[in-house]
Amino acid sequence: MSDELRTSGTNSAAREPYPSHVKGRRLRILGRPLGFEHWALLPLFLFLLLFVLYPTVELIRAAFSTVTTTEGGFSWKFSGLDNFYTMLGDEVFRAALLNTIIFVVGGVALQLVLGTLLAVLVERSRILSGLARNVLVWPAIITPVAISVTWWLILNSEFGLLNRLLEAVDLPRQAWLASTFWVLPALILVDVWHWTPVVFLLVLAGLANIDQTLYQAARVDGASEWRVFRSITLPLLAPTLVVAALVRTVLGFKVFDEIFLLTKGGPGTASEVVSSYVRKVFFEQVNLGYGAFLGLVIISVMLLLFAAFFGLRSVVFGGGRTS
Amino acid sequence: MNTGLNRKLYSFLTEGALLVAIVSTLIPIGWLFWNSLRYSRDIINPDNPVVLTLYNYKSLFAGGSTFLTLFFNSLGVVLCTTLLCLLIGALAAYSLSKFRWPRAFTPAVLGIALFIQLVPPIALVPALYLVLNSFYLYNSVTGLVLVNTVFNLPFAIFLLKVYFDSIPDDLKEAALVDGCKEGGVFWRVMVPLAAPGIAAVSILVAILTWNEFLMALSLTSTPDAQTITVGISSFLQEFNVQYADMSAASAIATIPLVILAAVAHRYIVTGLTGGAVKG
Amino acid sequence: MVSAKRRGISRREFLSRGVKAGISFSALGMFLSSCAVTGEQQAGRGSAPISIAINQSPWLKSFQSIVDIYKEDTGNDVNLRIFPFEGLRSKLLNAASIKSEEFDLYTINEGWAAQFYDAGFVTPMQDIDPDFELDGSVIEYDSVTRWDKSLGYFSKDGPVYGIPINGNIQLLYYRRDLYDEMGLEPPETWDDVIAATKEARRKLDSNIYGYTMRGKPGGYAVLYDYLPLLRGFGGDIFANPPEDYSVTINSDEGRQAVELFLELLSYGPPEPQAIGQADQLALMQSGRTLQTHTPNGAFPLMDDEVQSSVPDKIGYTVVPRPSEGVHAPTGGIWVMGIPQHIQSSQKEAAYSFLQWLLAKENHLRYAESSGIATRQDVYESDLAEQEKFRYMRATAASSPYVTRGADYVFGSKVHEVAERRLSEIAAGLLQPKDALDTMADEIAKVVPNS
Repeated sequence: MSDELRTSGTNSAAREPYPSHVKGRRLRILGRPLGFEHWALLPLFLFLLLFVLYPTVELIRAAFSTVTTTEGGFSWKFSGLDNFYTMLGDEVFRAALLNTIIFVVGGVALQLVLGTLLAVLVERSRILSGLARNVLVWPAIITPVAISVTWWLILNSEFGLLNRLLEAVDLPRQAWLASTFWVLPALILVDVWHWTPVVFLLVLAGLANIDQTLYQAARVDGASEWRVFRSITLPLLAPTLVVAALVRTVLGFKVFDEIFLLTKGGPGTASEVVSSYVRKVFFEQVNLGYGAFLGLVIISVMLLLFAAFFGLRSVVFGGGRTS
Repeated sequence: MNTGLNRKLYSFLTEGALLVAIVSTLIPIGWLFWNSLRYSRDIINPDNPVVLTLYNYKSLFAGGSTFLTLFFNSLGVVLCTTLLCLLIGALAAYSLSKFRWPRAFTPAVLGIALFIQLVPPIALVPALYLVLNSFYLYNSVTGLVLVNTVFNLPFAIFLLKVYFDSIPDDLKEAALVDGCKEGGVFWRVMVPLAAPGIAAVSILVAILTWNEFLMALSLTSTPDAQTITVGISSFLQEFNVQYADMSAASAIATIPLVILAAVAHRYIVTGLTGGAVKG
Repeated sequence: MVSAKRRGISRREFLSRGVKAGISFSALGMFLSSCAVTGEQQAGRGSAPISIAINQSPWLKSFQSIVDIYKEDTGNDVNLRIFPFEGLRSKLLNAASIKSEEFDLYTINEGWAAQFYDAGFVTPMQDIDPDFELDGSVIEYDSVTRWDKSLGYFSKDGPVYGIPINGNIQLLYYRRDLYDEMGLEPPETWDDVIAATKEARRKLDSNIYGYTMRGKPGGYAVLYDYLPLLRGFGGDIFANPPEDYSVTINSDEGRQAVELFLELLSYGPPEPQAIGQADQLALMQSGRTLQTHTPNGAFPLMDDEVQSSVPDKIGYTVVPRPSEGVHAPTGGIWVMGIPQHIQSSQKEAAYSFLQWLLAKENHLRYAESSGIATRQDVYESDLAEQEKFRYMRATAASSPYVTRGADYVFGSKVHEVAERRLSEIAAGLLQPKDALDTMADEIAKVVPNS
């Protein structure tokens, strides 16, 4: 009988207090007895406390301090907004931020276009679609470290595949990873190769959700393929594309592995991105306070992106729905 | 007008474009595997001699090499992380999905969990180093399992919650009425029903953990705990890049994933897209 | 209706309890981390096993061999904690910051030794053993081993903080077989080098890179290769550290150096800004370049048949000098330091390992396993007669000329500026004279006020 009285997910009487005869025996939290639903969340909360809350508190603490090396250790000193002023004057950080934005915008745009294109092609294809569905996913699941190695073997100016091919057809070699002009495009290329499959899959799923009768109706009316795509497919794909853009943008901002292994932010600061720069601040300049502050700045930027996404979502989805 | 010729042209272009895409995907991977079968001196030789050998693979698994240890470390971290993520994630997702919480609670919990996805991981390394050290877990497979779990939990919970949401609440009611305890409902009714979701999540968590690099690099110091990704990076030394070893090691890290992709393709797709589209 | 009295914990109470738990938790965390010990140290007092932090490099294998010999000889246990090249410094900084007992010996590159000495991360040898003295045959590489706390700089008379264990200095690597073909003697001056280059292009292979220099910025790469040129002409980055940090990189000597730099680059790969150390060595190994200067630590790579297409064809000599100048090979050595904060029993164990390694017989065995020795008598011993160790003669001849690298406490900031600007000069993006002046201004800005 007590099972029936216990609140369940959809029971609207949840706000009512528990009958007194149930209260006596159980552990309570906020007036409700501890049930399965509480124990189920406990492991998660422990993890969050240890690995999210504590590091974040440390991060915030360090962001507003100056940490210096002293006799065999580190010393902390609260320093308010000093790190903020450092950031304002830091042209390398500005360059890193700019590079990251270029990288993300360029990369995501290309990924969206290519991913959508591939998805549309695969959907319409008869012969190669099965093979394509399998193979085109591979770049997204292969280890990023291995991908860096792969592309290093291609883009290396002395021994790489690309320059060897160019030489074979008498075209000039380029220092793909060492030229301030080519390095970002080269890295964007690697990124696009690496992550387009994710957009591809998302769009493929999105396409599958579109009602086929809409297409048939349009074709019966004599609409051309391009018209169909523009007026039916794209608008219906819009929510998927927004999600894909958000996911890739957030992940793009955090890019680290490829930059670290391929160029280390070089040449100069031409391929420095926020993650690689923060790493340099932490581990090469050993400026823990400033590095933590930059970390906070990046988090704020991401939060802004998220807020923008939710704004976009209500516009695109037609508002109201919660996740 | 859609004449027969027009349709054939479209079809030809479509298949042609796809072929180009497939080839562009395969060329870099192929070049990697190709180089893994050559001697280091031939890879850097401008004359490009073609001499194939299994030397690199042999030396990776040879006597003094730690590569095998790294491989098994990666395997261990992946298995344990996946299990842990599933356990904690499924419990939490079920609780959030099927029980009544104050309005802001669920988004708040998901938000905090998702928060860790927003932070550039490099910024968390010093603090995580401290945490792991406090529990004597620095440079241990256990430590890596915990850290990887944290980074994959938000995603796991989010996806599993979507799956649990799609299971009608009536089933829960029915089971309770039949005399099941809450715990029983979870383990015996809900989990089996969410099996596809669980499969998708496990495969994705496995892939992400196998590929993880930064935490493994920063939070370990000996081959006892290092993973295969750290092993590959160690060939990219400042002084001397060991091209051939690096290619072979990368190839070995890649093969399991490619096999997994072929076999579990369906689940990967569902996993990558399930939450996003429905959410 | 249940009144507020009868409810469980009130919301406020819950939150305050949570906060208190959070604070005490972090306090617990800090406390535990301050007394963190690894399992190995706790085991066994008798033979005090030690842990050495070291990095991946071509000379790691030789170090592993000598450690094995040490373990056999003394019965003591040694654990090598090997990190990727890039990661060692940050590992050590992490360990020093939380006073971790994880390592008993830090392997420190001279490039950042100043930082470690100055911060007090490692202890002077005399604090462990008041009778400590470095054997006269141990090469000190321009006093990289010693530090004067009051001066805040390396000093010939200061106490020893770091024991040199890897004597990486620059040598000229050249194709002796091709030199023989051309009938030329090993080069002594840069003019000889350039003459050989032109001759090779004329007589042997018009596509060969006559000289390869690194142009790819990498922490401390382009500057490192540039220093022998700069100092060869008598110039330097600063006038007279630590007394006088006025910048002299754009002096007349500096200008001559930059001109030589550009000339040498013109005989090399078309995009020097893409050439890092690995590329430079690969060019040597594939026979693509006639000569280059790089640390002697790379010598095993040259004769390794799997990695090199020119085994046994490479010769070594002292880094050339300008015809009116001096030899000035730059040191890039590795020292080992004992952490300041570990237990004294561990310090003693680490110290006795270092003493063992420096002893002549053991050091000879180290060199035999291809380790880069730091004792002059090893370089002058019979080992140098062997073909395999032909680099030793050049090393022995270089010892009197070795100069310290750009190893200031604020060195990394200097490196940052110099790397970037030198690389831009190499890429042809900047005019040499303007670049030198810009570099001088920027370097002047990073010098801390005394």
